[in-house]
Amino acid sequence: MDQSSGTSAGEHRITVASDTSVIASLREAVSGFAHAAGADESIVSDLELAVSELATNVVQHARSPEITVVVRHEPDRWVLDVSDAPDTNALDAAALPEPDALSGRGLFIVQAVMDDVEIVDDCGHRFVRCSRLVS
Amino acid sequence: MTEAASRMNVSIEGSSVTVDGDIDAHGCPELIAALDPLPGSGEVRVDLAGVGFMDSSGLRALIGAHQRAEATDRRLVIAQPSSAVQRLIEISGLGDHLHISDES
Repeated sequence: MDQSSGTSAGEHRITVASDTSVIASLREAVSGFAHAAGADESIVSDLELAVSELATNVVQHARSPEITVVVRHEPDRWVLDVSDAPDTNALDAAALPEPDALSGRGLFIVQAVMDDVEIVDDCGHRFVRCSRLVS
Repeated sequence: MTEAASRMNVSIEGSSVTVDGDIDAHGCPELIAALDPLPGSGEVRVDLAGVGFMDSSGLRALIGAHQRAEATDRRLVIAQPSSAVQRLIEISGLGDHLHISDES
């Protein structure tokens, strides 16, 4: 399922076909890179949860046939980019749904475990960028 | 990376369901199928002690099963949730909504 992946200068990039069967491998790739770069367990588990939720959103809602994930280690934070992204106003609506709601928790959970979440539109290439500070 | 085989295992014995591994959107349909219709009779226990990872896909399956149980005067108990499951339930504010037991 691996279409392409690569590591350079503190950054790991993975592009795979958009399918639920790849989500576990994306978690594995992100956690493997973070572990190797010295991230502690709480950061690794937060990155795993965030990439799982965001990749699921791509599979279920996006039109792109591919998911691209970039995880980057900066001195004070971990940055996770997942494309493509929902509408630019999707984060505004990422409130916690009622307990009986079956869906709609993904972006809320990402915002809960990451310190900053935004939707970036880079000349039509839209992706979710989230950051987890190293405390 | 290698192709991901199913990383989740679901076993059913009477009214008890035991899930091991990772619960995500890939395994979610299998978990929903195991809980719809609810197995056995009376209280349904879903043992999640062996779940190393769960995202909101797992919550979706559990909430749906919880609702089916309530609608038929049954009770769905999430038994021995692993730390990953506990954390997700807390983040999602479902601790007072779902029935949770630390006993096996």
